[in-house]
Amino acid sequence: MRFNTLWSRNCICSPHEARSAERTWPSKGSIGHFLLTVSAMSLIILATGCATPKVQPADPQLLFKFDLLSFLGDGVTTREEVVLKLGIPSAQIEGEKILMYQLKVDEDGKWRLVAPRWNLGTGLRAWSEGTCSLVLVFGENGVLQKHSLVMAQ
Amino acid sequence: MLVSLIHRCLLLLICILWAGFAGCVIIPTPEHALLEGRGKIEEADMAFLEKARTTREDVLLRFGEPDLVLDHDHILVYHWAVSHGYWFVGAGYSGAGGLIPKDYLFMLEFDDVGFLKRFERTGTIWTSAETRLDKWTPPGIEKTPSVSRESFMIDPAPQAHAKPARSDVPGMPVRFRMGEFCYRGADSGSTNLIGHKVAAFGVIVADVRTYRPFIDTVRSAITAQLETAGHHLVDRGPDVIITGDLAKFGVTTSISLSSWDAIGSLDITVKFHSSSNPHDLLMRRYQLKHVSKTVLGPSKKDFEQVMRACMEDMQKKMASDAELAEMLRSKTR
Repeated sequence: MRFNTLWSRNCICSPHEARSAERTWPSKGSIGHFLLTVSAMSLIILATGCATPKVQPADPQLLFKFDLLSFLGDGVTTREEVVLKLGIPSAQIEGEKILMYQLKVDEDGKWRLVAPRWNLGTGLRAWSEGTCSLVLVFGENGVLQKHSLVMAQ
Repeated sequence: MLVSLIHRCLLLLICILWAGFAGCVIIPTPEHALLEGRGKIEEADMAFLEKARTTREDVLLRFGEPDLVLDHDHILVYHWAVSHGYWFVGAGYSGAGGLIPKDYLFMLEFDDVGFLKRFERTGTIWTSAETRLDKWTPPGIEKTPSVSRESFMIDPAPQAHAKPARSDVPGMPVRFRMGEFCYRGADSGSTNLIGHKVAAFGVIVADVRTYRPFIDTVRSAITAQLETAGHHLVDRGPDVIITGDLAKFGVTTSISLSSWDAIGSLDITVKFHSSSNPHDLLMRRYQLKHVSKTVLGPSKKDFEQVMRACMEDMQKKMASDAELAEMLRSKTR
């Protein structure tokens, strides 16, 4: 007596019965193929449930919760202060009017500035998961006019 | 709803049977998972866009940093890719499979004043992002963006120590103010670029940058050391003013037959001025160097470690400097 595999009807049977069962059931190859297919399909169905993060502005109040960004205030903060505290921006548009920084929460739950990365094949930006974009718009006097933190959620 | 479910189940069944008997299968799925980019931008998100009214600023505040900027800020491009299916090829016990990516581009063109001229959102699994971008952008503009090398962002700030209780501090604490710290190094073009990872034949493979301007990091380390020694940082009415000339704060690499090392150097002259007598000055020069040996090449952590070690050495030297301690003690009111 021996325990046989699931494919020999999941029963306890004699070696003779098992041998006859192996003859009547599909070959190991096709069983493996079938199992693989079913596993793959299950994974696909599970993966299909993964949502795609959507680019959207964060709650403006959120900025004040971060030590790193709590100094920012429209009509108050100057470009000089921003550059002294946050360093070189990851991108700037319209000269120095619009500065952008990339931020991410690190393992300790603190917000950190992230250096921009590129996809060397396409030249497009490469983003690691959870990276946010801080956009700062300055007036002609160099004072912050508007800002926004854009997240992917 | 039920018909749709039956339809999907039938499609799934057909795919399974096809996979079983034909050995090659393509399974379309609803769009899911993010393969590239920061996130998706849906048609509904673009509802606020109006030609000749929406500005570049509005777009950036809503969607954040673009993935590509072309033609002197006239064209902004957002890119993302999602999974739109799977493919499998099987034969016997071997097989291969993968995702079918769907590439999205959201392209916006602005006029010379910064108002929106036109925009388009396209998604396809057939043509590459580059091809679509080429078709969309006006002829003659620079299509290839400047591709930067890798950047290691490091935070070399030494570990913070708890401030001692007043009773633990020998003598009276000094009130100190941090004055101007200047960088007098050879390359003063960037406030946070401190060196490069250099491979064989002098090829630069990565930039090493600090999160904060490195002068600020050094200043903070000196402040932290004095506070740990029990002294007080003040804005007004200091006993001592501290300034500094930073001659070197940087990393480099060295390749030998057996190792590829990260080398960190710090060279700073710190001046302790008495606020009551400008001629009463104590100068200290700290020249420090640390090496981290690696086999495969220094990582971000190695660069961080060597610079942090330099800063910690500077703090130790300050802590054990009897003449400095005496000078500070003599300045207490």
